[in-house]
Amino acid sequence: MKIVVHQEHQSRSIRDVLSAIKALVAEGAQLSRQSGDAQHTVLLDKLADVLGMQDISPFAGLLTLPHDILFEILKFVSFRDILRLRQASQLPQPTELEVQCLIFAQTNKFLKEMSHARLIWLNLFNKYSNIKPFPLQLERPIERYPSGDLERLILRWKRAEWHFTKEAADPPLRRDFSLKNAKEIDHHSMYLLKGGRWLLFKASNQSLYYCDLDAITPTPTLLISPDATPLPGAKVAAYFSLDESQSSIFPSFTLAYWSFDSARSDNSFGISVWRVSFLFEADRPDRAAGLDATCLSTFLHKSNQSLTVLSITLSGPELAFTLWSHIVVVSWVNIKDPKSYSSRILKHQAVSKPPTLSSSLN
Amino acid sequence: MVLLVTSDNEQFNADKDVVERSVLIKNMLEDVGESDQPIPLPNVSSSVLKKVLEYCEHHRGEPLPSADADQSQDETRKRTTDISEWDQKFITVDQEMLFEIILAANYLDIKSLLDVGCKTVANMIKGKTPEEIRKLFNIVNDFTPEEEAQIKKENEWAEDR
Repeated sequence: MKIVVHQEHQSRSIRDVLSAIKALVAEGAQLSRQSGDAQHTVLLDKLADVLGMQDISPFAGLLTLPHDILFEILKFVSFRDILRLRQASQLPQPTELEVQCLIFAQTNKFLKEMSHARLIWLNLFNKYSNIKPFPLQLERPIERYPSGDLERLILRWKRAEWHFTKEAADPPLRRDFSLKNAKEIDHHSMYLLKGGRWLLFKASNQSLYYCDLDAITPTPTLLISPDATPLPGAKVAAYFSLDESQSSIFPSFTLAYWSFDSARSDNSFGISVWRVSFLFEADRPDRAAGLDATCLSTFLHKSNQSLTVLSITLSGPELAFTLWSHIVVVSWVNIKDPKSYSSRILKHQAVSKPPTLSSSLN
Repeated sequence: MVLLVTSDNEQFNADKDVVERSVLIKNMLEDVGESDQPIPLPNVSSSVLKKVLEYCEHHRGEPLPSADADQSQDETRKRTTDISEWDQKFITVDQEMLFEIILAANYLDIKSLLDVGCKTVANMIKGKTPEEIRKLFNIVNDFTPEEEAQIKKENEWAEDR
């Protein structure tokens, strides 16, 4: 065995150098026993005796600390220090830790180990999420993030932050996906859900697609098909608006969808409101596998003046859309007859004057 | 007074309010009631217990953190690695003793001492390169050169500040 005392050790106290030598002796003795090297075992036992070591069982050091104490220490360091520690040695990494946890599970330490592994990243999340001007947005409550997801989230966020400050030409993470299954994208109708994982976009054929940007190969998946919209076969572009404000432990959001068929002769266009929920696989209740849409309400709006919706906004039980001459506010949850329902109309006045509100029955 | 017996069979006499900073000992004393029986501490050596008692003596009378401590207080604790001047001087020991104190604080359930130990190790880790960490803690580099190059490449973005 070759013992190298690094030059840096000279600046350390004699006690620390002695500790380092004892650690090496303990480790060497352990290795020589494992390999059945009797000659070295005797030699190292003698050396241990000279050094006054009562036993040469694994020495108290960073890597011999119980995992729960190691996690306590790592709570106090930055993500950068954790990445460096990773490079120092094959320390327990969250993914490996999950494998270890399966072993620990047999000794009832599974939950303990699991929660501690997550604590490192939860602590980093708490440390970073409140101090930046743009807080990290989550797609679901923090309690529903397992350690691996939390780590990915924080590192992606810090990496993006680093790129913003560096003004680097290339993005930190690039996702390319083919649209061979989706029609051409309507660039006016794209929406990135909170958390940055799910991208919603509308194809020019009225279909609404979503894409999982965390997937190795992101693939557009159909969320709402043209046949399910109020005006099937409509060829004109549609807008959509999302309301993500609802707080629920089961993440979901509502989505309003406008569609218009120029070939239609009754001066009407259609609006539908959808509930979009996350789909979970049975073995991964903490990580969404996809999105699913259910139609909650659908109605036709008639207008003699204009059929072009300029914008659409969904907020809780109410929905507003802007036409050339007025804004229409509808309580979509109360619509019973899709052709006749109450609405409030906010008429456009001259730009310098505030708009007035009047009620009308459509 | 309470009599404590260490792993190397040394006996220590200490005031009850000093040793009760250890939740483990406090619970033991509550369980056995008034008794002159010595308390065995098979996981703590005499040199380490001496240091631990020095810490407990200095912090005698300070409020103990409750088991259901306010979470926000806990969060604040985690974010700072500041250590008081006395504690810093107290914990300036060699690595062997430092880790032994941490293990003893964990075993004896002395939260504040465990914190001081963990913060000290965290401060030793902070800002060091992987190689410096290896040297400081005598960690064997168990990566192959290819693995080392790969992991370095994966994490180099974090170094370019």
